[in-house]
Amino acid sequence: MRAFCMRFFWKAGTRIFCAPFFSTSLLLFLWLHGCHAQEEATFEELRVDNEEKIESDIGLGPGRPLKRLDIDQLEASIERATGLRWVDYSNHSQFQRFRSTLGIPDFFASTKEDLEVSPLFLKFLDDAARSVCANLINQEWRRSESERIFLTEAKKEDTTEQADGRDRIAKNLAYLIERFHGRSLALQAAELQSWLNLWKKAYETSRTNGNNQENAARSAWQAMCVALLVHPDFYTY
Amino acid sequence: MPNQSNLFRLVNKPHRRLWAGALFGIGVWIALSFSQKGLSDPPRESQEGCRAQVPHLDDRAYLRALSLDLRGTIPSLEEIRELKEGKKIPEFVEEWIQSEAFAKRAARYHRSLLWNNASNVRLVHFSQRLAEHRDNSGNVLFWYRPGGTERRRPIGGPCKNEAGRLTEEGRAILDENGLDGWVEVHPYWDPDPNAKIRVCAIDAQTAPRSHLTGKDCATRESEFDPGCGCGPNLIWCDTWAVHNTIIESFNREVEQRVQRLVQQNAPYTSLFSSRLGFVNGPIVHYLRHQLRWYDSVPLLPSPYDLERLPNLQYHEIDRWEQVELPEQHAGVLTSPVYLMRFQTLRSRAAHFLESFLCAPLTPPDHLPVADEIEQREPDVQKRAGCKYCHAILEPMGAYWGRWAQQGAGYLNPVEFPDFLPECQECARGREACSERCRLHYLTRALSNEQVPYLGMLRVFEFLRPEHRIHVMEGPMGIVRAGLADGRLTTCTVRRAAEWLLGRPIEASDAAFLQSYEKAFLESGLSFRSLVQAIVLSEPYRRVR
Repeated sequence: MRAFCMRFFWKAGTRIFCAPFFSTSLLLFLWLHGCHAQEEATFEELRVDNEEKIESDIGLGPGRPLKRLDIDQLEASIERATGLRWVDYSNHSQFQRFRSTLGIPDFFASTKEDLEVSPLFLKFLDDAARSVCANLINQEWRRSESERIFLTEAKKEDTTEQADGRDRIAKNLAYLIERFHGRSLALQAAELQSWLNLWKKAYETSRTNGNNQENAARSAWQAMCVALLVHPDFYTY
Repeated sequence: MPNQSNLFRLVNKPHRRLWAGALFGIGVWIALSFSQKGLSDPPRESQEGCRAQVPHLDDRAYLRALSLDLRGTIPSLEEIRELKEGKKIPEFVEEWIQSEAFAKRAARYHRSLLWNNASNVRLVHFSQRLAEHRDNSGNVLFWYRPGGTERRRPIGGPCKNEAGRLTEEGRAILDENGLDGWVEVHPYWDPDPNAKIRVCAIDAQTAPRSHLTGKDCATRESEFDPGCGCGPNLIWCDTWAVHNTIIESFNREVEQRVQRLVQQNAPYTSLFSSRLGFVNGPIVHYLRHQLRWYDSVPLLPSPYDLERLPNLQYHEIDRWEQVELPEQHAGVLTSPVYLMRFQTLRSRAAHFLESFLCAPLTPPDHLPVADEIEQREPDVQKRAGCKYCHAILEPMGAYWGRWAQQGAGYLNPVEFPDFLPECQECARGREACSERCRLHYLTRALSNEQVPYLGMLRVFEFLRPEHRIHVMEGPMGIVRAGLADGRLTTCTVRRAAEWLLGRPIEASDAAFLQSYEKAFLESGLSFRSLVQAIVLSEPYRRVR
């Protein structure tokens, strides 16, 4: 909001008012929606239309912090998003194997679940993502187009170098963000552009390493899968 | 125009400076007026290049949070599409809260309340534990009971690595040195009926009674008896893996109860009063064949009706059958796992006070230190430095007074009267104390004040007359008291809110807590309704 305010008043030549205006607007906003929330804005009235992305507030009453997925939620969510579990060679769940290391209390030595986004958690999440994504992309590359769950819009040979290929990749990324993070992004959204740039970078790196076009695309998609799983939008809610 | 609040639309008009000045003044006035009310905590603003952080969840993020909390996983694409097509959030909640997945999440949450882990308890006597004997290359040669090698006196150790035999009566045939060989046996824990392992003949004996002493081989009275083995298919013995499976089954049993309570939408109090229990294959095996081979924590008298156990095989680990529990073991507070996890009356009460009444026994700083005379006070309800907690804890612990400490059996008043003359006699040194006296009655007095209690059930030691009724009432007494003064419902609401909001409850939550509690009470103490009220409330959706 501050950035918007700055741009708005810069144009209007009234930049000097930006800071007090921001403070005032904020205070008024808090007053309207916080102090008089019960009178002026019910929860239902302030429901958000996702497509239009209106950023409204539902007041300043008590809230909650962003929560990290617990290990059981994480395991189930990875399975739902990718269709695969993080398992060892004997098909035993790695998350269950490392459950105490990952902070699940045993109610003897520990009685409180550790839900911090600790370096250790991120390390294991990264391990899980790399393992699952490698298997997923292998499967996707073997599947027919109609069987695929990850590469549903783009073709295996698509790259960002061709316009239609780029569009299909963007579409596929939007689909994946919806599948993994539950968020809907327009194809022109700046955020989707960041994902597209990441795809491109991964593709180019793979090409520089001597891979052919299809293998480089495969590496890029695998990188996307890992990025989607280790993204805070995946492991927090 | 996206990303604009009404305020910005308002100021996007002529005479902006005038408006700005006026609003600035209003802003200062509001800031001063509400500075006492904690309104100086504005929502986080977006930074250049980053997604705006708004202090609430949009419908998709809300759906995702609900799905994770209620079912433990993210919503499917189909569900996201349903939301897009107009399905309302409360409809999802209504549907999901009735699912088996929610019942499992509720059971998982209750682990943090029940601490249902009794894995430090050894259920079967150590001398009955079978282990593999390996050669230097690590190959398994045969199985034997390393904790009971006295049975091969004077030599000790395992048997010879050669085929041995059992007689028709199931007795081991020994050589001239008193040593046995191994025989092949199908172990009860292997689901493959053709699977066999080699077991030392002494350990594989199947005779129901020792031919040497006449003792019952199915009970601990025959411990270290060379005439007793592990029984047919080794049923009286365990292994580490079997032990862990049985303990884990007892741990999970109370979660089955929570799941059923949630699925049936039964009143929350039935968690403490329902006679509905569950058994699986390992629990049935333990109760049928190993109960009387207890180690240091006996489950005797049995918390289950042994005559009415379903016919389950050991390896049916995931098959849970419903059973009716004896009245004295109704509810989770007298479940085997609760009694084994909290083995003293004090710990049983203290945990209940903290988890279910939100009344932890936390002494204030600077408690008076007992002086030399005070330290001699044997009653901790009176002793300085102790009484702050123990004046509460001792009467509360008395609710579990008829459930064995360091055990899980109910001490019925017929077999275990409040006072037992034989225990008083043995306390005075006139005769040896029986196991019954030693385990459950006061047989030693360290001070004169304890003498009047000799021969009485342990719970009565220094128990005030007005608290004796607690012993008769059992743990349901403390539940009823908690319901009567409202602490049980208030605490249930508080704990559930802490779980779902992911933070401790604060003073500012009071109004919402009241609304949750109202929903909980109006629904007849439905846990589902409580959760529904919390996740559909503003604080749950207002994420900062």
